[in-house]
Amino acid sequence: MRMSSIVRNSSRLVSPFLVAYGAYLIIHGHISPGGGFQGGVILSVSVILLITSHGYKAVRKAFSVRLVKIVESMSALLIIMISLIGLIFGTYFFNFLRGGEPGTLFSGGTVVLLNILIGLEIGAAFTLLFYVLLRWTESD
Amino acid sequence: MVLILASILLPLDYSRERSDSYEHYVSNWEDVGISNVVASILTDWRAYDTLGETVVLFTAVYGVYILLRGKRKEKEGEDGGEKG
Repeated sequence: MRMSSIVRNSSRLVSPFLVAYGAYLIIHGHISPGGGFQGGVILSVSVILLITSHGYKAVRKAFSVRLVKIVESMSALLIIMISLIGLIFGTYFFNFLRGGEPGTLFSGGTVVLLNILIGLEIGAAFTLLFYVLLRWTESD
Repeated sequence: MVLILASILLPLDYSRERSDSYEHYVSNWEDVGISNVVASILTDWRAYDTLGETVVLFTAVYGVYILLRGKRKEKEGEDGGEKG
């Protein structure tokens, strides 16, 4: 029961744009609406879209469970690191990268880094969740 | 059960109590230098809460992973190696 080639090809075409959109939401989180959480979910949706169309085994070759676990734990670790680095400059989670004037991309400082790391972590978390839950329905 | 809860909860006073943190965020959001106030609250004023949220989600997903890892269908015995 494989998906028709139309579905497979179209999902293969769409998912990179989903990743781009998720990355946009994450990086511009502190300017336009968006942010770590929403962008991360969209990142994981792009992987899940591939899973539904191409089947579980094919996608697992590309994004192995080990890779997803590494990305998730690394970004969680880095978030804690950033908060500790902030400790050196003063209080916990101190925004030590105070950037330019409010509107620009670098205005947030650690907020940008935090958003990116949160986004990665949540994207990896939901893809891992999907992998685990899908493991039994090997119906690809 | 519902009646008991209704009798307890309904007479409570649900008027908005004045919490000053709202005014604090709205009044001086500039000194954080982020135009998206929601993101500034989420990751700068209250980054500690966000750290908590992220860790909660992290442990939840790993809990599911650990719980459901063992239950494989027998058909899929061969890639047990990937479990490690």
